[in-house]
Amino acid sequence: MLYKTRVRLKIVLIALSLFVFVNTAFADVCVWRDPERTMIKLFPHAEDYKTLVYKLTSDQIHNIESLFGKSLDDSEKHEFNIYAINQSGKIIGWVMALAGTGEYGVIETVIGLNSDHSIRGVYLQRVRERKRKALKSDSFLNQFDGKKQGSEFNITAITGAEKASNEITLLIKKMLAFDAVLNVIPANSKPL
Amino acid sequence: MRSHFVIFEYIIARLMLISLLATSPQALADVTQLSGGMDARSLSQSPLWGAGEEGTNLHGSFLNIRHVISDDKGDRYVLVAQLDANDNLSELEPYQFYIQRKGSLGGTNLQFGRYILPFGLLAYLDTERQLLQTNESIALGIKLDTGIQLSGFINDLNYAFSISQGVNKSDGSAKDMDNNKLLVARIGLQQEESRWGLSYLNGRIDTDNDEFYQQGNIDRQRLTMDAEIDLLPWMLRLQLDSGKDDKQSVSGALILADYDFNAHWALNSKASVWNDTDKFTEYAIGFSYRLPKDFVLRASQSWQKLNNVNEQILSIQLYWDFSYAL
Repeated sequence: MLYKTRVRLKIVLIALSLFVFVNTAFADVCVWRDPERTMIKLFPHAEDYKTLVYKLTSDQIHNIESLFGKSLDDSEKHEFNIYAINQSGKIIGWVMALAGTGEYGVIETVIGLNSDHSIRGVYLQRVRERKRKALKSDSFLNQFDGKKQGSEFNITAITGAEKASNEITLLIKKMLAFDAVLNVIPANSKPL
Repeated sequence: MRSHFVIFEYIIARLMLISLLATSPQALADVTQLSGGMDARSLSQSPLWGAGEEGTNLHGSFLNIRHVISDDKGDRYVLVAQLDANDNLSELEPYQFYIQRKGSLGGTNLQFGRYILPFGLLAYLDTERQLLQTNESIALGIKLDTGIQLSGFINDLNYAFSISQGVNKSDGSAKDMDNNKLLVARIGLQQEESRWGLSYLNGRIDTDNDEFYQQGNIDRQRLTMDAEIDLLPWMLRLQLDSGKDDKQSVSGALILADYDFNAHWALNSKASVWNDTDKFTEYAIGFSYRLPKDFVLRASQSWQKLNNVNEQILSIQLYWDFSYAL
């Protein structure tokens, strides 16, 4: 009986593997630690959130790249997660996260959007750059507040961390392009 | 053993069915995430005692399915099932499988099933697929257990409380022969660049874990302090254990220190000591190199000493993982 159970489990494992390999190219693993704490930082009065996963079509990818002005990385062409933030049963904003690469590793950037899709706040979830304190400072991150898709981005980079400053700016622009194309759920509506 | 596998198969089948049905290009309100990884290793031990894993093999691989079910207000239920296949796929083991009922944002979560115990560094760091590992195999004799857990956070404080079977059998059996439960509680402080925790464990652990320290049915108590401190460019992780095994005092300490050179290269190091009737020490140093396409190359050299017996282990690992929404 035990042998049969093991055989069945092997079959399940192989089936799952085949299922993955024939259906997907692989997306990066982006571990977002403490997402709920970040959501509360960005939306202190939020009561709940709902995860919305968008599987991208070729048209959507084309539209996102047109708005962003550059090609997406291969790993970004499969899906995108948007977290609808709820209060009193209505959506009051959205949170999204995207990872890029700095000089010293992954930079995980999280943004909160108001109901009019303007940036409410930016939070760096993970950054190992030597100028981390300056990159996480209000004086740098507050430059993004109020920006929308199509806004002018005249961001003053952190001296000595120009590459990381530029990467964070690109990640935020990219997320706004994702939001503009995918996120058509009106604010103040009930969550899906 | 069979009950574990049957429950695991049921969850896998349900999750596969859900994911096959969820093919709409619009936003998916219920979410299924598939992740997995492969861990190939080459080991050289000196002296070779005959019981090790000398040679090269697919040390382990895993598939993890995570499905989120939402209600009108938000994400409400999380189902997780993970199957590990070790030693060239010859050993299959249900790793984690649990159902979690999420509270509202910042509320209390309720979890039922087989999960990693919220104890010490394990509460947020799983080194199962890394060369330099935390020391629960020696210090606790158990890592995963079947039970019920409450967890959450209030401002900067984390809390977790678990009651479980206290069973860690190499054949995967979850049957609680002694019917004594294992209590684990942890309270943690989360800050921007550090986290601190205090954990308590009390109960009988029935284990035949293959580590030389952990055999039999042991009455165990632990009080442990853990910390993770992000001191650029270092990342330090510490754990200090004290307690009793069948009224015999035990103590131990662990430090893991990583240094990031750049986006690809990192130095990894470990020092640990464990004292009970025997004394065990381990020092290790290694590196990791991040390759394209989510591959990571790691190598380490470990010096271990049990009382007066020395052993060295040279390890090389190629690791790859992925994550994808179905």
